[in-house]
Amino acid sequence: MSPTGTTFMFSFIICTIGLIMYHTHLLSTLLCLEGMMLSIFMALTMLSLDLHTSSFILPLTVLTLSACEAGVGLALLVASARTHNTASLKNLNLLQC
Amino acid sequence: MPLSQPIILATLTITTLIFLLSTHLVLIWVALELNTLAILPLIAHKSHPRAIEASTKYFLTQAMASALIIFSGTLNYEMTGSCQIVELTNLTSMIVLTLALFIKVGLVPFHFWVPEVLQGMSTTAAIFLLTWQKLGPLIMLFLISPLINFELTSVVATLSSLVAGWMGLNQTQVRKLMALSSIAQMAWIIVIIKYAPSLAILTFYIYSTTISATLLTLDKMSTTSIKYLIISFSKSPITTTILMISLLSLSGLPPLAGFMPKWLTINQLLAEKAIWIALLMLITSLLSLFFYLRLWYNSSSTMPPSTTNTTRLWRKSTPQSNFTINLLTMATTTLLLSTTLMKAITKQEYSLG
Repeated sequence: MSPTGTTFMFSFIICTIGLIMYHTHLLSTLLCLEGMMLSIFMALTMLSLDLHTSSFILPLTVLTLSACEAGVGLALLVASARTHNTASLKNLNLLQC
Repeated sequence: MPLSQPIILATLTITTLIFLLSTHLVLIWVALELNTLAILPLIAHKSHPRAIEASTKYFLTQAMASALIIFSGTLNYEMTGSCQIVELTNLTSMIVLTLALFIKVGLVPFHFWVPEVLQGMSTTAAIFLLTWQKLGPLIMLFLISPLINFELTSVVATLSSLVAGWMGLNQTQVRKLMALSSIAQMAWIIVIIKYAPSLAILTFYIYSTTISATLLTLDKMSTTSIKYLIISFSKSPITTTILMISLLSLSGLPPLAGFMPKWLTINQLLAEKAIWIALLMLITSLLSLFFYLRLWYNSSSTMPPSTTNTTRLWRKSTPQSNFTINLLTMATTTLLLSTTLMKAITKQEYSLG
């Protein structure tokens, strides 16, 4: 694997670990999700350059849908701030057994 | 939300068609993502705290799973230069994709979101979540089934069956019980997907019919806890009988349709010499049989000789029998004939070599 590919893979893994480990604020979780998607976007862009396919439709698709996902995440942040009075993930405990 | 509902249903339909038609990994990922985003308004459609919490939890798990799916696709693209899902030959990306799909359908190491999300949403939307939403990940598993690792799927399947039954033992919320029963049924689908993918699809088909009938009946009787099942027979005997039949079909007892996929699965597993897996699946399904039978017992405990000592829910209207529910329950019962038919057709294939 190329050095750039390894870098993007590590940034993806670090963001995944952050998403799994940190349960403080919903916004930090959404940032970790965005980091995952952005590292994949950059890896796909580098791959399209390397393989000389000049097809940028794949990274653009990924970027578009990750933007949609971020929008939905922010909407849920607003909604949970309205209903729970806070956006902390520790307060999302109404449905536990 | 009268205006957005057609758009949501159209999106759900079209994305499932994309699943069925495409083998390009990025296209399937787009369909998965759109599917997730389209179901969110159905979960959060009443803006009370529990619905918002359920949709947040659903969104976070599904977004993480789809990020892992596109990651495995990118890794495979870098290693082999192919974006086709059927050519996913890199081992790491294969394992990552399988685990991400397990998050999507809610199998055991990643199953915690299923009961909580189901508890927060309405019962009719729960039918969508438990049947339609699982179609896409199952089609992906179907496509990669020749490459999948049998050890991984069998361990996850036995663990799912065990943990779902275990968690159901002291559960009184009916929707959470249905979520756990869905996890236990997914275990039967996953355990066979390597050796007989079409049998897994058949299992999923019968599971969807049965769990739709059960959830529609529970919605009709406005039952949220086992406690309210006690008065159900005095309210509506027919609906209660339908519920009992659906529950027994879910548990897989012989006269009903739920028996057929389990029988064929055990047969196939024995033919593949996976005897211990078959034994473990059978033993752990007894745990889920226990909570189905408890629901059954509670709904039949006020049959005529005994009197009810629970107050009626006077605010709720008495349920009338409904054509859709009757049709689905007929399907779950009369598919009995297909058991013997299937056995006769596939006698050579499933014989113990």
